[in-house]
Amino acid sequence: MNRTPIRSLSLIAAAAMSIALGACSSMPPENPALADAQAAYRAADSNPQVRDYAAAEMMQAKTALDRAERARQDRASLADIEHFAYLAKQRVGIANEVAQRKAAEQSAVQANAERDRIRLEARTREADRARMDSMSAKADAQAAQGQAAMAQGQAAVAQSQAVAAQQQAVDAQAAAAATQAHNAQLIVLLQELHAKQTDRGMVVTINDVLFDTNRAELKPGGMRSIEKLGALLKDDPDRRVQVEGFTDSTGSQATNEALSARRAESVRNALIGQGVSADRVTAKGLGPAYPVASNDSAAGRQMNRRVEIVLADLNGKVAAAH
Amino acid sequence: MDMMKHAQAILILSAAALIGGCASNPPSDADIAISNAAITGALSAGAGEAAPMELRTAREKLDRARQQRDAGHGEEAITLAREATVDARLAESKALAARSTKSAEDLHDANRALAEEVNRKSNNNSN
Repeated sequence: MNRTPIRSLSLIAAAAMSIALGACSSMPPENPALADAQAAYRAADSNPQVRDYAAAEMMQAKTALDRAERARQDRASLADIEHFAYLAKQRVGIANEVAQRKAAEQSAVQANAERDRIRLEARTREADRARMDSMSAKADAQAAQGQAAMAQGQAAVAQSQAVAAQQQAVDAQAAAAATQAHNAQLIVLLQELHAKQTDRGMVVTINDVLFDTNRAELKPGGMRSIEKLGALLKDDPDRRVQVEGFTDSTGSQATNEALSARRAESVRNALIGQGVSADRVTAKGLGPAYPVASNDSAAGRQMNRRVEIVLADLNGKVAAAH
Repeated sequence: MDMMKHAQAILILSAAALIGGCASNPPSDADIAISNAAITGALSAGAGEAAPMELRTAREKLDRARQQRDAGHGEEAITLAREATVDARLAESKALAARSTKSAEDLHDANRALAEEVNRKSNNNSN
């Protein structure tokens, strides 16, 4: 733009020259340098980057090219034509370089934007990561809390189990104590009844003196023994008893057996009267069999006249000796 | 930069006009001054490295323009000076284009490195 006055000057000069040379012939000769410049111009002009970014420079190139063409048309000197062609070609070169520079500047602007985008993305990722970290930390904390709660629950269960076990132990102890007390009571009762431990089980003997002669009814002293025995059997509901009646060898076998059977039956009925279930008690008369003393003396015969109550073992079986 | 160049050109032009106004100075001096300024501008733009051929041609033509002027050949001096000027301008624009291209490439390279760094960091952290 600042060169405008000079260019006007040279335009005037060129016009003057073309007037001076214009008169000569019909067709001006081709000029290779000018053709070169024109080709370079066309190539640049077909490049959109150059058209967009270097429009002013292309205009200057076009002006120079037109001037060269005019010089050729005006049959100016070869030196002049080539001079203007040279100027045009260099101006095309300048336009190309300016376009390249501006494209590079545009690319730099894009690169700056890209850098901002990358940094933003990096910050976003970092923020995402921080959020994820905090989320997983929270999840961990929740899981830990859950585990703690579960452990607490398990501890509570274990504690209640321990309490229950303790209670069971206490109960077992109490039961054991009760059993022991019961056993102690049993032992006392059995001692009072003069029970004897035999290989058939515990045997309680009810003596002849508790019956009237040739009678089967129990005297009151015998009844006391039966009451004790009934209480014992009530505490021990699984135990079965067998009542066996015996006589001395005096008198007939048949009479003796009948008497011993009646006496055994009488004791059985007395036990049932004490509340002992009838199916737990059996009775039989064995007569003079199994004497416990000699029948030769009165004292011996008295010992043989008896009723024995055999307490079966806990399996409910009366040992089958008699 | 453009403002500086414009101011410089205006100064040179007014100097040339002053010189041109004086009858004893040849008219080629203005073109020689413009050419000289264009070469200086190309040099400061880094044309010595980016476009040494164009710069050398411009200098040779400027030298020859001065010789022609000194020999009293004003027309030849103007022609040479004007060619030297476009040569210098081409050298300057080549240098500027090369510089801009280089800096754009550097920016893109830096972005690639940055993107790789960001990816590596996020991959490392996610693993």
